[in-house]
Amino acid sequence: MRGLLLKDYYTLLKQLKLYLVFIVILSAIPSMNMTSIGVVYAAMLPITAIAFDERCKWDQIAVMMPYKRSDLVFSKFLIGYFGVVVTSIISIGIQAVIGAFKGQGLTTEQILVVVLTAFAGLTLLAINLPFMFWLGVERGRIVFMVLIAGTVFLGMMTAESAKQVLANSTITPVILLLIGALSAAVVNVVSILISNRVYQKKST
Amino acid sequence: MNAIELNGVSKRYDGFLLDNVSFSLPRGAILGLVGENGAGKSTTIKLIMNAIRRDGGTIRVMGEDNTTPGFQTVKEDIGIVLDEAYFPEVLNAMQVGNVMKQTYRRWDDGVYQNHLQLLDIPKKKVFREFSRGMKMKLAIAVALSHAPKLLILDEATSGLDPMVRDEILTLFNDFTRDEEHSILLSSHIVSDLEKVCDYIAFLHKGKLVLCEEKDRLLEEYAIIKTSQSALDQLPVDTIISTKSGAYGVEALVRRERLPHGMQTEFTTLETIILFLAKGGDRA
Repeated sequence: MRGLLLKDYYTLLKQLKLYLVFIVILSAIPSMNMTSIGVVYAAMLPITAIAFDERCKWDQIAVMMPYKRSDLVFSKFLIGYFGVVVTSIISIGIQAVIGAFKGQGLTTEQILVVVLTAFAGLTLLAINLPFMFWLGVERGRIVFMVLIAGTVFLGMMTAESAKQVLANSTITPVILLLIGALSAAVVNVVSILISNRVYQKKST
Repeated sequence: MNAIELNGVSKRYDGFLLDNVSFSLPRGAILGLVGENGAGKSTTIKLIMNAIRRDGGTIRVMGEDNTTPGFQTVKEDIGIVLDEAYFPEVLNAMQVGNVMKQTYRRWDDGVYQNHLQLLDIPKKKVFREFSRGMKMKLAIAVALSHAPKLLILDEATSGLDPMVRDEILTLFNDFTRDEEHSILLSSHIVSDLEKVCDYIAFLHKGKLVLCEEKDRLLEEYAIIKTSQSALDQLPVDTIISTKSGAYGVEALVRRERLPHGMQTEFTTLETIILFLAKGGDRA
């Protein structure tokens, strides 16, 4: 597994440098949408890694090395998790620094927004990756675009009513975080199982 | 013990059937898997490495059934080079070495560096800028650097210039000096196989036509050039395959069945394979 992650790290090295600059800039803009863009970008890292693998038919040779097929699948999820977590940490860190300059501390709402956005990113990743393994990057990207468009549309349609519901409800931020974490975890476990199955079938 | 054993292996795709293939590679030997493009060589290699599921038969590699969990450990002993499947193109040879160090338990960085030097492979140049020969040489350097006991090489010499091919074939010969080391080498370049192989397995349209010791093949078969009338006088079971031309008939024959004193042409493995593959007028 470490070999696979190192290979993906080398493969994505250029993208990671750009990604870091991108995240820092986005995080400095005080808007939730900007953090979301960063998280979406992070969720795309595994897609880029899969695209590099497809181009050189890496999978064909990797399954003949001492790797399990499940390692090949799970390593891509790990890259996505890494991206989303790093994005969130940078985002919170930069917002804290900006706040400190203004003489303000980080608010619970700021942290809540970033963490919930991270859960949404992890869910997006989990929905998308089985399609990538099934359809390949070229067609899988179309699914990704549809997912993003759908999420944005849904977000815009329900944002106001969701705010009202939350304002009038007794749900505390802790419960909201727990719901988000649990949903993201369940979706990811299911996604890993499906991806493994898809990958097994694809290579037979 | 055999390094590889296939018994009645079959695999069906749309429009292709690898049909009941059985052969074995004894330890310490080099077996050449020869056949035209699409004959089933790469499919056979994928089946041996359990990269695809077989429809029938059994495969044992280094004594282990390749569908058991124990095969995962056996993979440590196998160096693999595939045709047109490489490392990601943005990596350089040093980075490939670092990745492989985390992949194989017995990875030897010293051996890898020696091979890079020996094969004149640039260390910092990215894979994308490599020629096909360079890519193959790097793949071979990797395959040899984790103390493998078995090399499985799919078309490792095709598309390379004669100098590089010779260099690589010498490496393979050196590898099998240890009697525990074996090589399965698939190629459609029969002359390469003739240089290094102890055994030849010939696949044709998904069927195994023959699997024999190379020297026995050259002893057993011969090419004769004669007239049609002279050929007609030979016993039927002498002639394997014939090819008619403007100046007579060429035939692949069983050497031992020829009448005493009958002259044969210089016969290479390539001509034998060509006759067996094309079938000629009478096969």
